[in-house]
Amino acid sequence: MTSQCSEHQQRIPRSFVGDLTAEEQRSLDMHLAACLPCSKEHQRYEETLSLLHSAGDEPIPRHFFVYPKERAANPWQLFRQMMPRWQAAAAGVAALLLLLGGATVSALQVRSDHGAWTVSFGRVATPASIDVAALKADILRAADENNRAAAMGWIQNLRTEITNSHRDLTQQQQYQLAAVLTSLETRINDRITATADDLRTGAQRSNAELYQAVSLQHEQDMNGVTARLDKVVETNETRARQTDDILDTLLQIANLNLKQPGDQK
Amino acid sequence: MPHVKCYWMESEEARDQTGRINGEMGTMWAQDRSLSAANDQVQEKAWVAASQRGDTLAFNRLVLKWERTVYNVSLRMLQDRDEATEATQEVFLSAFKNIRRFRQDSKFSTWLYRIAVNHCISRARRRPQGTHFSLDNVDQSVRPAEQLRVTETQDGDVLRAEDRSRVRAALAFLPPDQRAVIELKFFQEQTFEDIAAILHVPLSTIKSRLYAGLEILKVRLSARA
Repeated sequence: MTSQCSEHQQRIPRSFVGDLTAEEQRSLDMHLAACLPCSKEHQRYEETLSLLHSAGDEPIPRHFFVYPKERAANPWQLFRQMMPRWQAAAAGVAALLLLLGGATVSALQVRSDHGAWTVSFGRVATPASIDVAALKADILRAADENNRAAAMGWIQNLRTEITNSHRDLTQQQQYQLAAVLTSLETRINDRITATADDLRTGAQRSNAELYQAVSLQHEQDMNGVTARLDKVVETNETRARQTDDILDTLLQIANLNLKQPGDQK
Repeated sequence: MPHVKCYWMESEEARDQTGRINGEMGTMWAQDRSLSAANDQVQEKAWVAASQRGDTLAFNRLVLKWERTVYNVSLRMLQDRDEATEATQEVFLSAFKNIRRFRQDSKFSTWLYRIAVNHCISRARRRPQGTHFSLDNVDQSVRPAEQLRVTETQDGDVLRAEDRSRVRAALAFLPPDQRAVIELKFFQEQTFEDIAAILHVPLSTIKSRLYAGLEILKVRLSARA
């Protein structure tokens, strides 16, 4: 056994699985031809692999078919097994059902009347209660509308009458009527203007009178305030004079008291 | 490759003609085989597509095609017929449940091998600590009498049954990882790249596991011989 044997014996199993380069394979073949122990090693591998290949497969004891019930049948897995088109359709139907279910549940009502339970869907019909205020308002509104309609009818009749009477007038009468109406309108305008002037004049006059009255009152008030202030000043001066007199008197008394002990010494 | 013998032609010309005929027939046979393999692939893809749409019958056609392979992978990996039967059923059930996840960018067989081998490895690892398959245990579990009866009635090949028994006994000495690589390389004839893809391990690891396993097998099988 040479020093090269170890290296070549490592290559022997690799040679059986085609894991050697052409050069390595050629080198191994040359070595095997010259080295008996390595050749025997090669033969042992050959026999081992031959035995592995000859072993073959055993027949199966039974078949291993699977059945649809063995597939997990929860709704999500069923959904995942669908084709994309069917998935979209199923999702749409599910959303619709969910919407309808939600609407139904939201309108579901359970009531108890005098011990009797009632389950109902949708809007419940409530008994009508009389609202007197609303009824009054309705009646008034109806009457108002009636009155307005009557007035409109009366105005319409009046207009019709005027139109009819206007149609029967002659041209000259129509001119005279227009002149009278114009004169009437002028006089009404003059009257309105005069009234407005009277009102304006009256308002100015009343403003002046009001100003004079306010000024007079203000003057009287000012005179009263001045007189009171003068009186206060006079009173204060009188009191100040009396206070000074009292102080002078007290000082004189004090001076007298101070002089008497010194004079005695 | 079929061999045509023409005993009445003894001349050199006749031998040439025989060789030519053999060559032509060999080519035809090879073409026929490749056509058949291509047809098989197309058919298998159609069954896979139908299975993904929920067609159980199509999936069971796949089961019929692959059950012998999966069962024997399980048997060599687990060394026990009952456990191998259980594992095979579980492998097909798992494939059935997950068939929609299979993208047909690889072969169905690669995907199925992945499920089977990983399932067997995890089953072997789940076994209680200290459970070791000795040669005697394997021989008892194989039950030679039953083995002979089955193979005689079905194959009529007693020697092959003995070989199988010896190989399984030797395989029992390998750790599950090495056993999986030996199984895929020598029994399922997968390439190193495919094995790496099936087991999700680097190519170098696959090779080192293979040579280590082969060394153990060589020792065990030679010793028995």
